[in-house]
Amino acid sequence: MSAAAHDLVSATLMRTGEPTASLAYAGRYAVRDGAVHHSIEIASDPTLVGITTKRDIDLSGDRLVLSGPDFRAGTGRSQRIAWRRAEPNLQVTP
Amino acid sequence: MSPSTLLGEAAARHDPSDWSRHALDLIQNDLRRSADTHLLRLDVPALSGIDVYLKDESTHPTGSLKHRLARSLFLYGICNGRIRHDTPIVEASSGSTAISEAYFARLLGLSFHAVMSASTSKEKIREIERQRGVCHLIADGKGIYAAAEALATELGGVYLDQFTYAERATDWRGNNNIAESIFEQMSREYHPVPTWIVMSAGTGGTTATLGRYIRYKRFTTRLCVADPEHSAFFEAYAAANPQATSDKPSRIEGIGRPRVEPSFMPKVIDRMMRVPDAASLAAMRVLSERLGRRVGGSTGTNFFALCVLAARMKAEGSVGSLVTLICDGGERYGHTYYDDAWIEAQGLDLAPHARALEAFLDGAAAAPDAG
Ligand SMILES: Cc1ncc(COP(=O)(O)O)c(C=O)c1O
Repeated sequence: MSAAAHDLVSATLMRTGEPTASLAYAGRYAVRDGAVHHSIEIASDPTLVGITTKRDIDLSGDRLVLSGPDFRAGTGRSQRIAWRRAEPNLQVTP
Repeated sequence: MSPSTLLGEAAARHDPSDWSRHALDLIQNDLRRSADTHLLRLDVPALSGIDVYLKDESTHPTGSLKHRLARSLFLYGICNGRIRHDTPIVEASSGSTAISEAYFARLLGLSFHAVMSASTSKEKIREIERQRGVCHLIADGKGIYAAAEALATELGGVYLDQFTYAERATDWRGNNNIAESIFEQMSREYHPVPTWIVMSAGTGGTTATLGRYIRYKRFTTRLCVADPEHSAFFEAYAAANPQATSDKPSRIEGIGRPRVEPSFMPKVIDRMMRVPDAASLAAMRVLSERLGRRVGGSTGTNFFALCVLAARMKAEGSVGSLVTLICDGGERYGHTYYDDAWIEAQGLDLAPHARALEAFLDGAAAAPDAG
């Protein structure tokens, strides 16, 4: 996932197990009330266009957990993604 | 009569010139009783043709390379007439310098006050107090300079100001400074002129001495300065920005500063490297394991950067020697860098860095950095 200035977000999700699956979308994001909201504007699955997802933010130290219900209402499933802040890269001058 | 009795009598008579003569005697006698520090050769068979040396500054009487600086600052202050028989001495420090200065102040019968960040290790504070120094702890590390200056004014004393005077109090052309000592000790080695000397910067005084001496003696050696994560020096060098700052305090005690210190001389540096703190502390532990005794955090920063340069030399198929410093020992960091709970509370994960570095030193990986 990458989020940039001007509220733009894009994400690519992949499942490595069998059967393999992937999903990509892009749109706008906003952070309010301790949650991040993604409004999907284009997606590899056209039925997702127009949906706004909500993911609660749990940030502690270098760990960020985003969690919330599935994209589509009614599946009963929820999503949970844990991120860890990357180590800063080694910077070397010429 | 012993020099210290003569010194006491001169102080009682308020005789400044007699006092400074005896004070200089005492400092010179202390130097005469000291041996030079060892230049250790680290055995790394996987780096065949590339020889690694460590100048062990932890063996000074006050346990770190700052023993040299403290001696120089006192000599400079006395010879300039700033330090007299009744001058209270004040310093802003991350701890090591204050330990060494407290030692020399005590030798001369002067009172000593260290102004330090509240994050300074307990072991260092205890060591200063053992030398009869007084510690003043400041919550915001950036405030130590102004607080030290104010305290010196209030006490009618002298603010030694290592960050300003380190580069000029040291005799850069020789007089057994650290650079001259390294080159002399290297002179009969297989690769006597190092390809690289690697050092980190606190005041920048040691790197200034090394860089100037290399030029003065026309050696081909290059100087690489390793900087920790939170420090203004890397940006000052890489972007030629002397106004660079770092908002976060350095986690590696003694090196990395919130501002570009006046003693930092970027023009004598050939390369800089910003080393992640987790890599520094992993390298500190890996090196300690191989030496069989603990070294400090800044030594880890130095050693990691040295390994990165050695890896590049190996990749290019070149041979030669590299030298870095053991700045201080690890006994001052038992409650921090050598405490796994402290490491975890800092959000640091040393394991991947330690694995990568071990693999490199054992010849199983081409580079010492993780990822
Ligand atoms: C442990 C340690 N390592 C490295 C340094 C850096 O030395 P310099 O001040 O000469 O740049 C210091 C300086 O305080 C130190 O205390």
